[in-house]
Amino acid sequence: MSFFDKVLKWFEKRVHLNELLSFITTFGIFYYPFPLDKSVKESLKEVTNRPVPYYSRWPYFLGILIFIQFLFQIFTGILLLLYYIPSMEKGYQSTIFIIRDVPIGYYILGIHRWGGILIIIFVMLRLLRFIYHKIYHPPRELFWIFAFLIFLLLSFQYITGTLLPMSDGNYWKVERILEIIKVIPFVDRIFSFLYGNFMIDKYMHLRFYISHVFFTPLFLFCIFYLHFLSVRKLGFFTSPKKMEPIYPGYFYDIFIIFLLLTGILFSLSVLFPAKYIQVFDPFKTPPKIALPFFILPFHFLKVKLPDTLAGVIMLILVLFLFFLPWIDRSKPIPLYKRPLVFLVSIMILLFLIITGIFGFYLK
Amino acid sequence: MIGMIFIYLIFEARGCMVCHSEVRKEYSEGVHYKERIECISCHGGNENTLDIKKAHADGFKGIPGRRKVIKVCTYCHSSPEKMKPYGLSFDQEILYYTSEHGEAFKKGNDEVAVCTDCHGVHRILPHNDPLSLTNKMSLPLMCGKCHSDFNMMKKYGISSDVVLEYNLSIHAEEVRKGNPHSPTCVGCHSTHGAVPPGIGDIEKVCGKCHIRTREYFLRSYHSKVWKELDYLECEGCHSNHYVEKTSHDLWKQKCIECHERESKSYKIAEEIYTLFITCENEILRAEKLTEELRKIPVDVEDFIGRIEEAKTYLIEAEPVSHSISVEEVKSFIAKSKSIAEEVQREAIRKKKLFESKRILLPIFWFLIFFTIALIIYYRR
Repeated sequence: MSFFDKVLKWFEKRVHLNELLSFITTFGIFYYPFPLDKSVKESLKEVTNRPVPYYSRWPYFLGILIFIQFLFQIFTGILLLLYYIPSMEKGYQSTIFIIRDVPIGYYILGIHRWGGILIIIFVMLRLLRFIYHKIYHPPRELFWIFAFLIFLLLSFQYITGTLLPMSDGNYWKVERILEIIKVIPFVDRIFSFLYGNFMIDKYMHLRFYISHVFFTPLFLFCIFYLHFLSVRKLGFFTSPKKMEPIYPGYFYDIFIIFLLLTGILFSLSVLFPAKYIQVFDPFKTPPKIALPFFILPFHFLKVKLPDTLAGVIMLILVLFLFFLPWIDRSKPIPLYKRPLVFLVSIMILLFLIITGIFGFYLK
Repeated sequence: MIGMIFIYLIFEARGCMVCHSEVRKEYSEGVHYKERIECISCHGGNENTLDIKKAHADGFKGIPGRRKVIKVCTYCHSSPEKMKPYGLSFDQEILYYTSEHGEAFKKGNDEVAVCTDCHGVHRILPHNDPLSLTNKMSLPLMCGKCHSDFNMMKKYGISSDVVLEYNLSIHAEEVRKGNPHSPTCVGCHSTHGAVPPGIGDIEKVCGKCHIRTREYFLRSYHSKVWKELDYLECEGCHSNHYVEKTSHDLWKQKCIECHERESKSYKIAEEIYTLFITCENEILRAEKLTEELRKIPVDVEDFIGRIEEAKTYLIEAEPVSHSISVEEVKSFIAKSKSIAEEVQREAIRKKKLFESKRILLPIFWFLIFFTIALIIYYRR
């Protein structure tokens, strides 16, 4: 018996290691239930030798990619948290301090910022894939609900995070987004209940900060956990064509994805760094405000339509997407074989893209 | 009667104000009312009665005419005993008679400005009150009442554009910005003893504020020769009322008026002009680089401080240039220029250092691909 085995045994007698491993491995490493009645070594051996389908291949890896990216965000976020000062006055200076003076702060902030943009793109792609393959077919409705909630919460993370540097461009971006939230019925009530009002002051800044670093990540983490649990319970959607044992095949594939993601984030943060040119000025609107791409369709609607109508359209769109599993009751086959759903989804997609493009060129 | 008593009680109006109610509001806002100077001090009469005849007896003067008004005012304002407690000067009458206004007044001209023309009649406010006619902000307007009147000024052969010209000048711009040191009309012409400064005195008047400039100007060859030639000193290049913000182009525009293009003197002017322009360009380039770095962001506090230092030397060189000595100007410009060039060099070095971060990218990608290759190799 080796030394490592002795240590393992010592711990096994005192801690329920199987449950701990079961919790950790919930997050996308082993999709199968973890046997709790055997010893750690045996159960690990059993689980790792089970074959899984090629889930580390496009487009199946989107889910695990989002979770890895989320871990990236948490890791870089904690590092940023150490130096950021949560106040209207000091926010900008501390951001500049992080970029300028903190060792590798420049890369950490760049990776955190680009990670926020990438994760939303990944979530959107995943939602599109869900619609294409109709993965939300019963009993997997919750997959869609979780995915959509993750999208909403991540968008909110993006908005709250945008305010934190307190630079001129970012301040006005959030100001515009708040104007959009203000016209959506019910949502505006919830927002003003949680955040006071629609004016960016020091209290709003503090609340945004707390949401960004604590509450929303906590919710997200819970939803991720629930999502993985339901995946474990219900199993995979598609019938596996090619199988491979979890270790080493699947495990190393995830590692390769992780490495590539690091490279992409690092390159983006060096080649396209964020520019926080000057501190915010609430009395001077800059001529051009670059809104995030997923806000642009709503911005276009808000500007071009009367406030109430625009708000109602936005609300209906969000509710429609949220309750999609109960609205779309077609068979779970690829999208092009379901003409009606295909037409509707293409129309909604085109509508979002076209209004988004118009919203980008709006003065 | 009850109404009259009512007014009497409410407004503390003495007898005069009961009937002369049209004056009451105007007068009650003025400084004289606040200091309890009664109507009878200027107009005579009896204020303690409401009987019209009795009130207008007792040495009643009525409205003092333009010729008498100076006497009425100076009764108090030339008395040291009365003025000392307020800290006011009591030499206005003497000064007034030394002014162009006073000289003409003595000769019997009724049109010239007397006390009430500038200070108002009943509603007289201290000059530091923003509503006062003699406040710094409204002073050009007040002088302009007469000095912008073409028909009136034509009689005396004076230009009626002075206030207009002044309003376009850098001095007026600074006053509007709130600079307390910038002069209005009275800054150069004085208040009660208002005279236009004569030739030979202009540099003294301007030198009150532009001390260093005057110092260097007096050193120059110009100052000696221009006095002999009766040539206007500062005014010659900078004009009198319409004093523009000077640019270095003045060396090219003004010197050519007297000096030939090929002459030695014009060469000096050209040399000084080149010195200033090159120095300014160097500073601008340094500022541009610094701004670029600041946007990245890179620490540039040090550069900003040093650019300020360079600018200070450049500003110091401007009064020195009035001595028309290339050597003296050069000594200041050289300092400024060397700082600006140093900042540029360091800024470029810092920028290159920052951009060198991109070299890391290929190395990073190489490491990633190497690791992936290793994994794939060992999995087989």
